[in-house]
Amino acid sequence: MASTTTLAENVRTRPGLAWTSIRTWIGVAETALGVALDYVAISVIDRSESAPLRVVFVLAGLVLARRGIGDLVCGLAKREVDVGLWLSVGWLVALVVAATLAGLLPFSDYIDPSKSLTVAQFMTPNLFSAHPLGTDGLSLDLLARCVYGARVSILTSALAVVLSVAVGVPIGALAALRGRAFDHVVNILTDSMLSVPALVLLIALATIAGRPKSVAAAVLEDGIGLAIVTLPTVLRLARSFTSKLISEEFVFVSRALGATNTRIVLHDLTPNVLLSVSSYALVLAAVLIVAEGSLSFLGLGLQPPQPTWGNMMAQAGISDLSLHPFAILVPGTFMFLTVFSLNRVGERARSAFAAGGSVVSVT
Amino acid sequence: MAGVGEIHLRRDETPVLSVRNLVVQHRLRRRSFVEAVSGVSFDVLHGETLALVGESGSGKSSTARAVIQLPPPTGGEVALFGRELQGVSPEELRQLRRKLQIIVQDPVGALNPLKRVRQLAAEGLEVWSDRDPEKVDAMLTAVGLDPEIYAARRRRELSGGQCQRLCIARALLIGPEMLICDEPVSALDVSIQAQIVELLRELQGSMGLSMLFISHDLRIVKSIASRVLVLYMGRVCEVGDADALYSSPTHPYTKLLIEAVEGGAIEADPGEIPSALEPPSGCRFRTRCPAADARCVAEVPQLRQVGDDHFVACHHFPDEAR
Repeated sequence: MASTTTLAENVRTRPGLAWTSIRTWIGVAETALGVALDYVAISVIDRSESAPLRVVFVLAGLVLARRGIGDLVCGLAKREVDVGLWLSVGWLVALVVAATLAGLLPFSDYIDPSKSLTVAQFMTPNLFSAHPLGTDGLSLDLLARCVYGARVSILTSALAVVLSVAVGVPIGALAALRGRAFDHVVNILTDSMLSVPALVLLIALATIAGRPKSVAAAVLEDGIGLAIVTLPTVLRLARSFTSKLISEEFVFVSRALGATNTRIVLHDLTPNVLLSVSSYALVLAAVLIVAEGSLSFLGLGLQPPQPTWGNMMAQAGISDLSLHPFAILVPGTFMFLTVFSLNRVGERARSAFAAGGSVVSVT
Repeated sequence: MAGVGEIHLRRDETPVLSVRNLVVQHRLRRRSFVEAVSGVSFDVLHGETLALVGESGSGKSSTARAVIQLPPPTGGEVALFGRELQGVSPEELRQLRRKLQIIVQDPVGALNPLKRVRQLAAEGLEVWSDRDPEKVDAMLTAVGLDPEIYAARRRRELSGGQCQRLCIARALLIGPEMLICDEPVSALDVSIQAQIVELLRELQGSMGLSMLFISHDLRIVKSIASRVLVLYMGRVCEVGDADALYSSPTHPYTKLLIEAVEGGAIEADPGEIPSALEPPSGCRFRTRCPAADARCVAEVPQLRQVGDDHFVACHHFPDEAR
């Protein structure tokens, strides 16, 4: 009996074993090739070579390296691993940690042009120099500016998500529970808020509040502004989740068991609505990071020399894109990777909740 | 029947549950409504199981929900141990409902997805401020869910049958006298159905429960009910002792149901239930009845006694009793 099992297992796993070890080596080769390609494109090729060509090489190297890491991990783990998801988580964690500890990291100067007078302008990335991702038009370090800029992006979008959930969920839930007049009023208000273009509303708010000079002021001002813009969406989500929940059989049974309204709200509605809404929080945060970027790109957010991803791109200028692509590509890549990762992780969280934990979901 | 009447009610004893002339209307839009139940009366004595049988749309579930007053019926009276449930304060109703529990059709949906088995089983007890973990575990064991294995699971880690066992445990833990089972097994695999029905029967015996068992499946009803009431479009067709009803079905609709179960040739069944928005006049079954005539269009049939405990609402059957 035991020997039959072993035999069967061998037959099943042997080809797998061979493939996984081959795959591991393919992964190593791909990763090495990708990294080499990137290194050559960024640091070795003569600067006079055309910039778009180098960008293409960099991207090709990145894609190859990403594939390589995927094959490497799957090969080592001997099963399919969602490497993209873990890379996304890794990026987000690294970004948050770096932004938190930015003051302690050995960055070159990021804010005071008078201290960087001896540094060249628009240096291209060189991973093994004092300016790994290059410098901008004021000779300030791009890596350092991007990491400090991450503080603004992360804090602003987090604040906006927390505020809109904290205000929107109770009102939306109450609208679903009370119905009638209250629901009607809330509906009219959300409709009118949604009918005002978000950007116009934000510009108006920024005009009233003035342009923020410090990070704290920018986070507070933009955070509140963006929370107002997202409020109707969160409110609607909460309202629809709640109205689906109250027709759920387990709420009916709770009532039959003798549960009071308070108990039903505390035990059945609140946890389920919060879970469903929070599974959208990460996706919402991704949208808000782009929105914050647009605000500071338009000059409505934190003012230079304080860095944000948006104002870095604005400062680099569209007109200089062909001459100094990295000054705009570096902050652009930071924003891209962050939004991409948030969407990736958020989508995964949402589908996990939809599959198991939560009753209501929008698919 | 589809008829009306109270002749089948037993007046010599105080029933656990007594329902008189129950009417349930569901509002659709302004001023338009469907009448799901139109004047149904029945009673359930201590330890008895009354089955409500009928196709979907016959008003079975509406009756069940009206009995526990969620929502309250449009008309008629429901009394528990002779105590009227209409016109009492919400708090009093909540107290009274403790003796009247319900098992619903969708056992998975009836469980809060975020809670674990032991919490779910204890939900009712918590409401009544009774926290006794031993009681909960004993009841879980009694319904066949070993607490050591299942206590920490959530509903998605249970099968449909296990969910229904859990619902039964939760309902019985608060000590009801009357259990309403609203299609308790129709969402389950056929192989599981018999187990759950058997479990209900055992628990009913050991706890002295009275039951209102709602099902569209006569085979299941046969194995658990002592009395059967056949509903069609919100009215009673036939009611009586289960054996009498099976051995000599009298109403054409009852015959149709029994024939359908036995797989015999169905003589004449011209179609489906008519729209509940405009129920047929007179006998509501007449549009599908082979014996329908002018009288069936004009008059609503009254329940008549045809046996010891056997009542029928039909103008034509049994023939001799016109």
